[in-house]
Amino acid sequence: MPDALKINAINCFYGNVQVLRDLSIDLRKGEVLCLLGRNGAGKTTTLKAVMGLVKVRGGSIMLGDTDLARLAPHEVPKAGVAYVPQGRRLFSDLTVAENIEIGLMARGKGRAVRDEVLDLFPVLRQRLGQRSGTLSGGEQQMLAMARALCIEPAILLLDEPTEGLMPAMIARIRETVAELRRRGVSTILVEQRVDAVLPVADRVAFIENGRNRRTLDVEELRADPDAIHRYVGVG
Amino acid sequence: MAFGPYLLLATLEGLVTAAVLSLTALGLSLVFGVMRIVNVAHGEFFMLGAVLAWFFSTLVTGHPALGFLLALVLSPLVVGAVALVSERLVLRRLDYNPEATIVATIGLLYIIQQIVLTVYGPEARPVVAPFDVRIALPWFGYSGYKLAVIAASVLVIAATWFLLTKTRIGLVMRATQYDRETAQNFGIPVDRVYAGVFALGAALAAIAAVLVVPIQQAHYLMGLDPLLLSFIVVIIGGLGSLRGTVVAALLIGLSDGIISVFFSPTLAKMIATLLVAMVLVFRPQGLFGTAAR
Repeated sequence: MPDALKINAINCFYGNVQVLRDLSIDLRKGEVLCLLGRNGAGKTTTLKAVMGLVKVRGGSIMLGDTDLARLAPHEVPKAGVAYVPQGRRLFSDLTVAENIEIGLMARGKGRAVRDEVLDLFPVLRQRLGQRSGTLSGGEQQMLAMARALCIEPAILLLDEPTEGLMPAMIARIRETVAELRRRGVSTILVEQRVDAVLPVADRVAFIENGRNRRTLDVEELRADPDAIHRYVGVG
Repeated sequence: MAFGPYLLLATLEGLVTAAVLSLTALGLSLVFGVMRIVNVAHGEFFMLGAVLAWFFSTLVTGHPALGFLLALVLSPLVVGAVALVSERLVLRRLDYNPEATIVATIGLLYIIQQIVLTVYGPEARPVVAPFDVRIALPWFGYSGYKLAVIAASVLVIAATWFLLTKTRIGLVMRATQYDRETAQNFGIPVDRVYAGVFALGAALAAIAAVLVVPIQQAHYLMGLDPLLLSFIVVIIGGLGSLRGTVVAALLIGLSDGIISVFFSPTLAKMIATLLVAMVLVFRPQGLFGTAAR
């Protein structure tokens, strides 16, 4: 399968502290790649580096022929990359409809995309005029994903989308990720909980101290459950 | 004059003050709300607007309305352009750092003030009102132009409200105000939004100045009072809140008009400052602001 996104030996710093060290990851077309690792391992920083929110020193982040590391942050979504950050980061004083409008504006998408996205999350249709900050946690997560999908992304970055959600809502998010995979969207998923990941992931990359220690197929991981403890000590 | 008409006169004067103050403070509030920048040079944009209004009005001979209309169009545009250049050359290079930009805009204040002093001089110069109509009330006559200033301010505030709440540009500005980083994740060029907002804030101050300059005179030190009063208004109303700015400007403008007429202008300023202190202690986010996120 060809690569949808190729992260080549990138380094990132917060001040003088190096957070990513020659980190390389290949995301294949249409797959769900999960990043696993302890807190502070560099998973979120990897996503932020792709979005241009953290400056990359050295290396490259190739989307086709475009090096995302050389783009201004606002140009990255226009290249077809959408990001659902940890904690959702909705524009909480704006309505649901306005949040979706912001998503559509990113790549000039229209009503057809809006309807398609709302079909994925029908509950949002009844909340269009409601301020997004007043939605339940699960609804906020759906809106965060809906807003990102309005970009019609080729690459979707999800940072702990199931954090703090009830089991029914986690299942709903998982179904959505699976549906997006069927539609050919390539996804990088950051999760703390392995059980939330295995049903939807194709491969798992273990991130430790800012490095990609190993990338395994989910089948390999199922056959060797100790691998998780061996590589990053989480589970 | 009996108390009632006297109060009516004071209220009308207060409404004129409130109208001009609303526009000036709205500019300051927008810049802080979206960019989180305390623009200490805002009063100088007001002053520059007034001085340019004098300049443009002298270019046209004939009916005073022609020169005034030219000033009303060109003065905000030129002041907006000056603000745009300042944003590019100074604020952007400081990465909009809140502390550094306070110091930088203090510097900008002195640069604009001293350039105007050098080029325009220390004189106070009048601009002729575009029309001279007195509205005859049963108790006194009142300037029709001052009533027009109130109407024009209401129109500009309504237009700003429309821009912010009903247009795509407004949506982009509000999204940037709430979360700069997430706005970038959705293709919003935050630097360009900031530049536009800074220019718009300065242009609003310039519009207020053009409206007021037939009542006051253009002078190189006239920016201080509007700056102080604008800060009072945006702190009381809530930084970044359009509704709060208008309500607080009405409160401050009316109290300034009434207290100045019945007692003294100094007492009016003292009460306004005391009000700010009370708001800062009991409701730091202002009357209509939201608590820090």
